[in-house]
Amino acid sequence: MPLAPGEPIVPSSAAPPFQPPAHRRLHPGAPVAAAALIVAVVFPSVVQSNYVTSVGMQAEILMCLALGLNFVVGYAGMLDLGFAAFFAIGAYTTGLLSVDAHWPVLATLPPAVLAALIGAVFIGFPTLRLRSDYLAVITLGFGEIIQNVVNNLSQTGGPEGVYGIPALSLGGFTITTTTGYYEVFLVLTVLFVAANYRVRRSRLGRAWLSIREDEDTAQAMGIKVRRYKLYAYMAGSVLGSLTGSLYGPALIAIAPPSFGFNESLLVVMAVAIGGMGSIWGALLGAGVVVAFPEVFRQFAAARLLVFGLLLVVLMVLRPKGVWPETGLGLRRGRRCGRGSWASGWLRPRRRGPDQLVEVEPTEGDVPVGEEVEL
Amino acid sequence: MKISPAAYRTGAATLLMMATCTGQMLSGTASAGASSSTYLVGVSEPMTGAEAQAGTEIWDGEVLAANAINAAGGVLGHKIVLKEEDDACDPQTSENAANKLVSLGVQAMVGGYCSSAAQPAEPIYARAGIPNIQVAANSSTLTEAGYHDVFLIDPGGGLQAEEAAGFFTKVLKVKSLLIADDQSTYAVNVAQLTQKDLAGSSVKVFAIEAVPDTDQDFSALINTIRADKAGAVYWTGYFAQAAEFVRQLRTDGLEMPFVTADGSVDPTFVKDAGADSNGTYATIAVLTGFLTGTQANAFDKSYKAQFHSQPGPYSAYGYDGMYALADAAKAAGSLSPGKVIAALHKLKFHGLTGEVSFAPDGSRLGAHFVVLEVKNGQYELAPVQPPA
Amino acid sequence: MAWGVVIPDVVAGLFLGAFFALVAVGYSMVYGILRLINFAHGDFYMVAAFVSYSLLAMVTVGTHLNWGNVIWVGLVTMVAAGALAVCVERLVYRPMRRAAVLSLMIAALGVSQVLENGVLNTPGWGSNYLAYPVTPPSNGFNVASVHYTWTQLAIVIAAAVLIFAVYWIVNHTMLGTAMRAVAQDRVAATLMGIKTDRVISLVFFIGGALAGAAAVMASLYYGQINYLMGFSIGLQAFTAAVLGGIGNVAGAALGGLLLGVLESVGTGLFGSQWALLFAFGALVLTLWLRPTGLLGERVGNRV
Repeated sequence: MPLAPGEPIVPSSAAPPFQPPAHRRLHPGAPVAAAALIVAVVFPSVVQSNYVTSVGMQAEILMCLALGLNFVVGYAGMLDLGFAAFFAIGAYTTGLLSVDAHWPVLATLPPAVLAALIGAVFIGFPTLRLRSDYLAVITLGFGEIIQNVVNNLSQTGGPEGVYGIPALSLGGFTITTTTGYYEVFLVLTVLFVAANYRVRRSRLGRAWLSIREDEDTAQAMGIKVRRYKLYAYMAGSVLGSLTGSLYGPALIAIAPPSFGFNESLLVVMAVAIGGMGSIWGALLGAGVVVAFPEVFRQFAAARLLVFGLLLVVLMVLRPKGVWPETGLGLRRGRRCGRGSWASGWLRPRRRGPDQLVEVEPTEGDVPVGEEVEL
Repeated sequence: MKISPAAYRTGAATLLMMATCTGQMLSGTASAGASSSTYLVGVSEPMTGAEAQAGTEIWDGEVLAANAINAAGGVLGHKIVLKEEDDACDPQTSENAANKLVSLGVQAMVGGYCSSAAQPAEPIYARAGIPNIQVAANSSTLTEAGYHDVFLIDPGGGLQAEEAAGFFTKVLKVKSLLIADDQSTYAVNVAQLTQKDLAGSSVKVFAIEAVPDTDQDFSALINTIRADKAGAVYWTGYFAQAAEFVRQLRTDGLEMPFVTADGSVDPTFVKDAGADSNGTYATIAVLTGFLTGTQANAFDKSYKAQFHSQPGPYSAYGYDGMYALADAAKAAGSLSPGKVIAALHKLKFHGLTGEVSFAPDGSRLGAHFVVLEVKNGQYELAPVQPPA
Repeated sequence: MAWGVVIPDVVAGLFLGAFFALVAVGYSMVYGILRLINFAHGDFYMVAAFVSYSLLAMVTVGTHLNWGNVIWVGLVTMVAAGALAVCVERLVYRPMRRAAVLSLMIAALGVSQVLENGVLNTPGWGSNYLAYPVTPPSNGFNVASVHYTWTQLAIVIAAAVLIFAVYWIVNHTMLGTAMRAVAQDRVAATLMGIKTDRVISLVFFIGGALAGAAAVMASLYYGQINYLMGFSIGLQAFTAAVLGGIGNVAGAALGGLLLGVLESVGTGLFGSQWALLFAFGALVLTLWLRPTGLLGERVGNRV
């Protein structure tokens, strides 16, 4: 396999961490992306329904969160069950500064991002050396702690939350309509997609991918694993808090129930349903998670039951998500000889030093290497 | 640059899915709209989630009222048609419910339980220009925002706190009090106002205990109550936890007076607490169901006949909310939302929860609070009422 | 801060912890064998509570508590809960054996939604807080002016017996050895002739049965059931399992008790709203100092 200059040499049993095939797939997809963007921009004017536009805005918010979580779960392979904490930090920092101290919304973004970064370092630093499942619990705990704190403290408005958050003003424009915020979050989504895309192809992204594939080998190759894990967590926190900062002005009021475990699970669901590590997957998953409960309103009180059934069926039939990194699986035939570059999460746990890499076909078109111990 | 067939297929599939979803969400917008012979009223209430039971009570109360109004000829000849949407006590879901109702063409909204869910929905109803009658949500932030179409049926915490304070100082005459809430906006409001009212009185109030609403186990709190030797307990949260609280309190041998706010006045409280509910008190806006009188008995009877269960505290608010809308429309002589809103501001009638009229900012006037006592599994007016 | 309540709070916490421990052991065993964080576990507990409610309602006259009824309803509920767990395992988790852990987790979330909303939409159950048909007697004994009931004692003893039985099965029987083998290395276990599928189903059954037992006991004691009651206990049981060292029966039991104590003491010292924070803070601290949990095995990193 050709190596670009400066690329680390990795043993053949581990995945080559550069030039992921997704790169080759997105280029032919670029016109489709452009078309999708145009559709998205004109969507509110075509549909002429505040309701649908509002749902679209919520889908975009979840997309932004999912793209942030993608850094942590998709690229670096760390299971984060408390992502809503960063969402909360961003929302509350902006909310409190703009309501109590009368800062304009845009001016609150830097402090919000800073607060999120501090939070990420604070919780990440002592805990990122844990096994991934313990990390899940710690991040869950962190999410619960943040929600608990903003719920209990009167400075953050207690259970009532923060009310009367001023509208976002850009230049001379003050954005007050749902359509306006729809477009704002669309811009944010595009920015985050670009960020995901660029980071994936940078040294940082490659380091993350190699950590995801095989932490120990990455460490042996000179990648400071703990530091890069922390970077992933911090990157995710930035995106999460930016989303949160704009959430307040869009909804005028924020309250603790929107920032708990349920919200963290929604983001994880979006990433998992869509397909881990894939940008389109994150967007699609977020769309599904937001739109389907609304579409199912016709079932009245049973709408979540239908949603749950759909979720189960989807996961059983397509566990890698609808559009994972390995592609949609629409192409017939197999590519061979690649070894396993699929996400560490997509592989059974490795055990023991003696390993045999066996290539076998799966339901997707790309074979996933499975280790068999001797 | 070649576009791969896979990309085409993906794009097409995504587009198709988006179109279907959008179509589904838009469906019913035109067809289910108000026809000329009906009065379409939206009801946004929690149908799922921890508050679903209260949502059912609100819905049942409104259905009862709507049926009675329709049987008597409807509103200006138009039959009331209710459209229910789930707000799940969540701001985002509530926004979607509001948008959905508005897109369906409802001419008024009577419903709402959680204040935090009601807040983001307010501008949506205001932009649509329709009456937004909140039957249970009563946070002062709802009226402070300045929307002209908001009307609260449930009186704010101030009157209730006054009643409670009077009860503890003048009737029970306890030396110390422990107030506990369940962290919901409404309960916190009542708790804090009661504490403020009792400041400087003969009753010493301990720090307010905020109990998360998922907590079932009160032993630690009860240990604190025992150690503090509290003279009485005031619970401002809802009925499910109230039942747990009083059960565990009595099992532990603590017999001090147990008073709840109106969110706990519910047949479920009596049922779940069993014998331990006897002797407990509650502050509540007058529900004629607890006084004798033909209006009271009629409501109780028809409720039980239709829904096979006793009315809860919010059933009466839902009922009054529906009647407020109907009476205002009749007074305005028109179903047009603008005229109904104007008529609501001038409205005054005698409902189940007392006299119903609204202050200029939409908050409820005319409610009168009393103290109830549970005797033999039934709510009755307490023998000694605090002075007015 | 009232320091005088610490001891009664510790005792109260141990009682509360008994429920956490029962559910945590099930959670932990399932995790140990499949590496799956089964978010639906709390909902097995919830469904069991409703099933026992309906059974008891059928056989109870008035509110007269018949211990015989309670016991056989409890046993039937345990079997039913175990059966439900096995069903879910067969239908949902087994086809996903090779899937990513995250996908399994999402599927578990889906199952949780189905169970919760299934109960919500079942006529006769629904969204109400239902009163349990029987109320246990409140006679008991006093220790330092705190009243404890015989029912509480009975519950603690029953929970201890069940947990010890599971511990004994896992550590001192052939079946337990098979379970531990499958947990350690599924492929090797298959090569050794162990019917892994059956063992996994059995583990689910035991986990479900324990949750069922906990459900009956808690419903009896607290007297109230609701379709969302599984969420809170599921989360706390999971936390307890991790605190004690996941994959480990003794660890889960210890974690459960410890979590109960932490929450009660936290409430007593800081107020109810800070109790959960206190507990999570302790969890973070514990994992920081002992990354595999209190009784977790020190798993070295083999390269």
